[in-house]
Amino acid sequence: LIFRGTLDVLILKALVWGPLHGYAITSLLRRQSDDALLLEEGTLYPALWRLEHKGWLDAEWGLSENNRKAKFYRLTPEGRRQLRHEVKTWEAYATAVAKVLGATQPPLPEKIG
Amino acid sequence: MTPTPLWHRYARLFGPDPAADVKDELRFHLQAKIDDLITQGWPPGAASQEAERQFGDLRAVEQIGLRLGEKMERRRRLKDYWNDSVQDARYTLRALGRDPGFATVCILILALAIGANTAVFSVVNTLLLRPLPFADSNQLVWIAPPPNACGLSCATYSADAYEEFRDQSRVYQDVTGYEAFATPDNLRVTGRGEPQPATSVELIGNFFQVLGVQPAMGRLFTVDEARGGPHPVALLTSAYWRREFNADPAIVGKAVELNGTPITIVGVLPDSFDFGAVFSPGAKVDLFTPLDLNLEHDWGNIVTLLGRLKPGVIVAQALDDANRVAPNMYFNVKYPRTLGRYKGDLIPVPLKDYVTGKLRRSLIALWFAVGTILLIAGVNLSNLLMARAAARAKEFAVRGALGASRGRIVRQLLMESLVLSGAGALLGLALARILLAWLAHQGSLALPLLSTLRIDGETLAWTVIVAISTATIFGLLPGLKIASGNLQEVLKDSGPGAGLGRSHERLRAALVVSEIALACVLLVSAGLLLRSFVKVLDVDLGFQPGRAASIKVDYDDSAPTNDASVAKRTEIFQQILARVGALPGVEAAGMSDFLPLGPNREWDTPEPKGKTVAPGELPDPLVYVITPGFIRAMGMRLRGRDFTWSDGPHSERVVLINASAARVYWPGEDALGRILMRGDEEDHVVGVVDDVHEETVEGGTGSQIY
Repeated sequence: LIFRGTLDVLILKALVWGPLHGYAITSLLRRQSDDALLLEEGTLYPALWRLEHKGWLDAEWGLSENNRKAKFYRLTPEGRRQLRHEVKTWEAYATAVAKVLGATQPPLPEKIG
Repeated sequence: MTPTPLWHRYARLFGPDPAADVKDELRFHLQAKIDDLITQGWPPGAASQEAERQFGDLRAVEQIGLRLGEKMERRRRLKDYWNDSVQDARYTLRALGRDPGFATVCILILALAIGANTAVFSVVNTLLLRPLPFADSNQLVWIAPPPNACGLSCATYSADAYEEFRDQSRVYQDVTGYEAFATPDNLRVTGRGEPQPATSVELIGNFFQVLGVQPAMGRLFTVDEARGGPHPVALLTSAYWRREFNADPAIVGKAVELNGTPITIVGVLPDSFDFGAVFSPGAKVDLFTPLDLNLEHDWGNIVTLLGRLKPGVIVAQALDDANRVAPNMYFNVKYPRTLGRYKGDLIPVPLKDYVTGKLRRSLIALWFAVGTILLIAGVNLSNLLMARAAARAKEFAVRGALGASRGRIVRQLLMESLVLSGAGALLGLALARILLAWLAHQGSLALPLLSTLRIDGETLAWTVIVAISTATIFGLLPGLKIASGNLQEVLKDSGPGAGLGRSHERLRAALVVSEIALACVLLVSAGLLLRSFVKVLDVDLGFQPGRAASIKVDYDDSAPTNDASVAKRTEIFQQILARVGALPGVEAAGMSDFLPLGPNREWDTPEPKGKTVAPGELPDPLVYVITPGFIRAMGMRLRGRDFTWSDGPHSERVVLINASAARVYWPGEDALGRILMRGDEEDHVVGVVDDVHEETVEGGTGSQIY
């Protein structure tokens, strides 16, 4: 299960190492998350196109490993910047959530007056 | 320019098709999935089903892809267009930079034409299109008799007539007017060091209320003040307040001395109100005082009429109403004989028409003239572009051969003319600005509303329209012509200046012919204009202004009795004239209370002795009061003798009359030595002077008596 905002950042991250086509992105996400991130594959494409529309991704047609015509996506400089930004936001969010969830005792009452 | 991505060029090759792209992409995904599943050991049929199951809603995804794809395609096309245009612009600048002579000539031609058009449009806009600077100015009407020969005296009404008209008319919210015979510098501001001349106009008290003008400071005249209340008051114009009183913020309530009488300043008018600009072009008014109608009843025609119509009343109704009122109006209620004298003489016209009506035709003519100039400039530009394009035919042919479409080449040429006309428009705007700034301060031009000339949004929009349409029309013509040429012909033809075919020649010939025709039209009209101008200069004014100079003099002739006052005045005049005449270079000196070419006036109707004439048959002559020497100083031609100092109230009464008057009084006879009767007084005609133009250079000459 993947939330929509999260999917965007995952796609950006998947493309950090170089251009990939859509199918490669799904398999990469599945392998890297050890099959933990189950993705309805169809939802990937609207996200890809949206990111392309925003100018974070560039697309070009090329040949896949087994010589099929495939559309390859590549990070634009702007996409790279966006990824850095989102990673930071995500980490801050995750730390905050982890802190709350990892608490072992109730917080001290705040002093009043 | 950002480098074009690879896929972009690839997509171009097959033509962009977002729908096919989406299908291809999704099919590839499914295919790859099926391949993977089969490698994992799924049977082919089940693998395909499983792939679709894992994908989810294929149709929905496709739909989204289609929508997004179309959106992107549109944006891409726009971006391409923009990129191409930028490329064209860069290329144009480079090409024009290589040929600065061509560019300079084009831009200068266009700048002159566009500048002239902008300036004239600005004038036309100010005078004809824009409403007058008053609230609901379309309700304002000017009431005057039909145009006639006798000038301002016949365009004005008596104080009685004003009151009758105001009281009897039903279509006006209110009627006002002003004393029309104010002359420049008719007041002396005293009590503040050197006496300073100032120009004042007397207004009927409700003048500003009718126009809807609010004072910037202080207040307008009160009803009491308008009736000549106990304290004389004045309103200042904004310009005068700034100039003479350094924009003193506490001016309201202060007193100034006008001709020795203390007058309280009750207010300052707003900047936007310019009396001269609307009512008396070229004049500068410094302050306004209320006109006391009670003192003016016996003064003849002195006020103009100006009314504000009730809402919804049209001018035709106002005319009907005026025709109803006119027969019941007296020139002077004391004289029943003067009843109905204004019949047919009360014609309301919209104030705007009164102010600009006379100019409408000449302005429109001017507009056409500058339009013709623009056409000539455009044809010129077209021709220059053609010539240049002919020289570049090879370049275009090569570009065409390399795949540039015809539209692309036309766009390139269009961009060139756009850049040229844009630059021309900028320069033209600067020119127009200078021209307008100069015009606006040209007081002697006597055009109404001149000081409000400026380049505003409308003018700017007009300039842009002119520039773009010029570029389009005159750039498209050669562009289309070039682009339609036969590529191969041009490519094969190696010689420079190779012929571009007959149709090409024909177009250029047409351009040249139309240019010459337009130029001829302009030349002829300019010639005619110049001729009439020269004619105006040639008009025999009846005096020689070239060598005459005038000075206004104040004097104090206050004396206990009239006789003593006359004696004192004579003494003063003789002294002044003796001193002025003694100045080196002064040939002759004289005095008059009135200079030619000023507003007119008339006093009474003398009759030649020994003849009986029906009343109304003789003209009311214009009277000049002059001293000996005036005739000679003005360079007027005199038959008979000039006045001498011994002609005076105690000697035989003498007058000079002009040739027109002589013709009227004693047709076909010699007027010298005859006697004019003014009531019971006999005036001996001692001289006849040639006619002097009394009001305007173009106007006729009425009878004049000295």
